[in-house]
Amino acid sequence: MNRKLFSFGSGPFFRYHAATLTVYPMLLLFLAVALQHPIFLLMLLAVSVLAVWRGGGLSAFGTILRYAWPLLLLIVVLNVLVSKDGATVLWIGPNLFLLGKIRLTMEALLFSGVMVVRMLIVLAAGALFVAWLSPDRSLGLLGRIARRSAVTAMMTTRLAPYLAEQSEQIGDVLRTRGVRLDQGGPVQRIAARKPMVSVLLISALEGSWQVAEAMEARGYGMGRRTSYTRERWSRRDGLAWAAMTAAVWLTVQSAWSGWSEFVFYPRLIGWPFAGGAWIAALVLGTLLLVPPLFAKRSRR
Amino acid sequence: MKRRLYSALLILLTVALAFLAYTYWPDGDLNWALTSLFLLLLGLGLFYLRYERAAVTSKETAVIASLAAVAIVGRILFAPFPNFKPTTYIVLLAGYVFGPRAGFMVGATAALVSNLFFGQGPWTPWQMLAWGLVGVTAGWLGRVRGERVTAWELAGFGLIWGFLFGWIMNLWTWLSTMYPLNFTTWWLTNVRSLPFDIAHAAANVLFALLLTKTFLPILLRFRRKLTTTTLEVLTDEKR
Repeated sequence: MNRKLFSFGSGPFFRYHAATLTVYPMLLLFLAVALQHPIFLLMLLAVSVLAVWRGGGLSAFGTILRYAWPLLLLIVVLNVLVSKDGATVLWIGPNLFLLGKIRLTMEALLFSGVMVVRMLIVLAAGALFVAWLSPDRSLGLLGRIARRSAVTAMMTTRLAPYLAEQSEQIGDVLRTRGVRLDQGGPVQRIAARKPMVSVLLISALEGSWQVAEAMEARGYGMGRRTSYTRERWSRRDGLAWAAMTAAVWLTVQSAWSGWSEFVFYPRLIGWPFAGGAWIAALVLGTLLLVPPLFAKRSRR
Repeated sequence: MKRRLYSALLILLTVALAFLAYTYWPDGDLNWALTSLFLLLLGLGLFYLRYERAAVTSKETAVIASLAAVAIVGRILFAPFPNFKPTTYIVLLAGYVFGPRAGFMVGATAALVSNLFFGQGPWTPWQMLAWGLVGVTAGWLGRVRGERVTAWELAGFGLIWGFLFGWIMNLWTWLSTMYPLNFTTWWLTNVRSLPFDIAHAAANVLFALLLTKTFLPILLRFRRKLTTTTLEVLTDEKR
């Protein structure tokens, strides 16, 4: 299980600069949070899913959804049950303890649906980030702005798989000595794992001393740090950044001119064909499609 | 001095932006999802800035990375038990023994790196903040209680953080997907996560009671090793 979990870096390598691969999912997240017009968000969702597919993260997105669906359901249920500000009443329900009279309104229903779409875009952006950028490349990028934090994080990414492997070995040793790690009730199983954590802690701390000595032997903290990067800017990056900049500009312009304005309560305003919403959303979607469409995989 | 100036500038920037936001959206129409994310990133940035500017030795860096790795592996070892992991306890203990700065870094790094393996999402910065704060507050507690602390005290501290952690994590969901933003929607969001929070708090209590007696002396010994300075003996020539 651990080997599969720590198999990062084995995915496809995209020929974009790490900064492009980092900023694009962040832009999707930012736009999802900044906008609340249904047309814009639906367009963003379509683009995000397509980007996840291009980035090779569709299965990861599926796994996230398997865990996230209760949260999505909760968003719908809570908004529908609690919000009483909507004017278009669809159904009046019974009096519930602490919640009062239940009023199912069209506004609350639409708002909860839109919030689910927002959450789906955010989850897709997370899946895309992990799928198309290896931790090595993302932490390498972090190293340019926060060197010490990046070194700490990189060391942790190296140590975690090593310790996980060690924990498996400790588990095997414990099993040969008759410890039953996977039998009995939860308390017994938790107590059986206690020696594993103790051995791991001591081993990790002892190991950290050797790591520190190795760092010092290689000149850590002795003056200016040298660096080497394999990240290269290409014309492809230029195109992606131009499209992303234009997308940000269009979002600001849409907010300024009221195209992306949408009011849910007390009555829906802006629905469904208000102003230039459709055209602006379509152009925004097209611009955001540029980076994933021009993403090219290559051999390492 | 320079460090303080950067921090002061960042805080001033935050206050100015908050003022501008309220000036433009005085009627409460402020996009709280965006604002909270921005403030959160700014807060995390301040903590990281402190770490970047501090005089951290290679040994301290290695110890922080090792403890963060142990916290991550703790998540894997206890995978069969949902929300019942020793991660928070390890972060708490790291902060308690090595101080607020190391505690924050262990918590934030454990969140950031473990999500590289388990999956990144909007929860990552919130997890970084929540675990980071566990480490920071434990560091403050450590300054007060020192080596006299008992397992029961750490269990009580872990119990409180079991619930606080869940409430911090729920903030984003509440701010970005709920309407209206009032007390009812806030507590309903937290009620939803109550079973998970109880499991988290119970795990912190159980691990504190089970492990403190063994773990605390080990970490204290490493702290002593970390702060030990080897002095060079001056020979006649050097004198």
